Amino acid sequence: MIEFKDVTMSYDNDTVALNGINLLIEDGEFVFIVGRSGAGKTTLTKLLMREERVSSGKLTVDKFKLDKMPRRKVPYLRRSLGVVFQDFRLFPNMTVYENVAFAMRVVGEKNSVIKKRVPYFLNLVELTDKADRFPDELSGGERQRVAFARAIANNPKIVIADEPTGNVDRQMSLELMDLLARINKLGKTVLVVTHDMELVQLFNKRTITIDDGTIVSDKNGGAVLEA
Amino acid sequence: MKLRNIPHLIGQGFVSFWRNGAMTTAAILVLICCMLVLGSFYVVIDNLDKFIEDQSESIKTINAYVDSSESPEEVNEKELALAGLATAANSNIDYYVRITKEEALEEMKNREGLEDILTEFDESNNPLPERFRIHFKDIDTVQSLMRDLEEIFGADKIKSEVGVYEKVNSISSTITLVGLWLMIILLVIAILIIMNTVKLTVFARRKDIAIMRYIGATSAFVVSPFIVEGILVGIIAAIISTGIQYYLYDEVFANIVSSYNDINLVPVMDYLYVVPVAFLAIGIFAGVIASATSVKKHLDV
Repeated sequence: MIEFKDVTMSYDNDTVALNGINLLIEDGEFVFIVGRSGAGKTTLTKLLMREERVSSGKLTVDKFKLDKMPRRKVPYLRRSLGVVFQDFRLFPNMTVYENVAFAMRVVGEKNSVIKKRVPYFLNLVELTDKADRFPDELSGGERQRVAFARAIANNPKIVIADEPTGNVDRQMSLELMDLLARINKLGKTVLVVTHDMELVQLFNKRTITIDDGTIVSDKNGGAVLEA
Repeated sequence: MKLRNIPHLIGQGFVSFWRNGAMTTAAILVLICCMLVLGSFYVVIDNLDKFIEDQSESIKTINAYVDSSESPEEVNEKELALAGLATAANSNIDYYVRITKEEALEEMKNREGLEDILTEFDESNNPLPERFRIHFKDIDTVQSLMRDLEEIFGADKIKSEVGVYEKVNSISSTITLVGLWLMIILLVIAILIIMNTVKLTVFARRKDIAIMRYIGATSAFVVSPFIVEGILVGIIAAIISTGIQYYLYDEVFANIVSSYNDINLVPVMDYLYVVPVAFLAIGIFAGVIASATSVKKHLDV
């Protein structure tokens, strides 16, 4: 469960990135967050990961109360989230297998479990045959699939995808969205931040539109980005 | 951080040490240079110290001359008085040697550079007086010994290099003190240089650190492989530096010094424990401190 209560976030230079956000996302929902660049989408994901702190208001992610959570608890919050970034953020010096396994090691998973589960996730994203490759040797779509496998490796309740289709072609975008839909079907809350309106309309899910730091619409079914 | 992560983290340190070859090589080279400068400086200072000590031992003597006009009985009488002084309780005399005129000439002839000049002298025209060479124990109370000897032999017959000894001794302690400070300064500079190099290697991997943080790694989890890497850099640099230092000392330094006579180097084996242990300590300390402090800066994501 994700809950924003009157959340305002302004940067040090007094730029107000989010203003009075009220939002409730229940467990198991699939939600698109859309908006023009600079609208506040990225700030919203940064708040969810506690990369930034709320300036005022209350923010709850699962059991974590982010507005008053101490820094040392941030790693535990992030372990409960599976995050996929537009720029993949894979370890360039690790193989595909190691990239996925690393996320499991971070949470102190047993070697035997890692050995069993990494191949399962690689199979899920259809990268079994590329387990020993380094990210540099993969296409954009393949890299993003590794990022997906890593994001779900620790069985998080919430998966956040920040512009996941930004660096891949149309065909791959559809496949990635399909993968997210399957992850959602496993009972996970999925949050997709995007400005790709075609995809949003195609997938017909709850869509929250942000503009100028405020929520301008919250509709079930593909929304139309205004202006 | 869970205990079962520890073997992995150590392994990770080895892996990233290997995969970041260029940077770790740079760090190792810098560390080797620093340690060699420090090590060379140490052995030079130590040898200088030992040389001064050797020299001062040889001048820890007083010569009491006997006038050639004196009869053997008179000389014996003086020796008896000297023996009394040497056997007295709390005597400052370690031992003494009576050197006859012949022995004095022989000793002189044996000295390098003098053998040709002295060939024309023999027993019939030996100009050297008979003397007693007194080795004393303690420089602090030597003045009172000097007074006793002057009473037996006469003030003008006593010759010593006590003044020289005192000067040498103070030079030696100054060198040790200055050396110590220079080594401390060098050590600080070495550690700063090493830290800077490690900082560069960490900076080059700041993106990796950020990713680790994004996927929920704790600070300890992120820092530990870097520390293992720091320790590895330190150990490898220490081993290589020790090898080079031994070679430099045993071959190069010893060859240079052997061209000067009368200088005995501290045997290389004397450094067998000091140098590797010091190098290891410096290497590991610098590696760990540098890694830990530089990683910390990038943890804040």
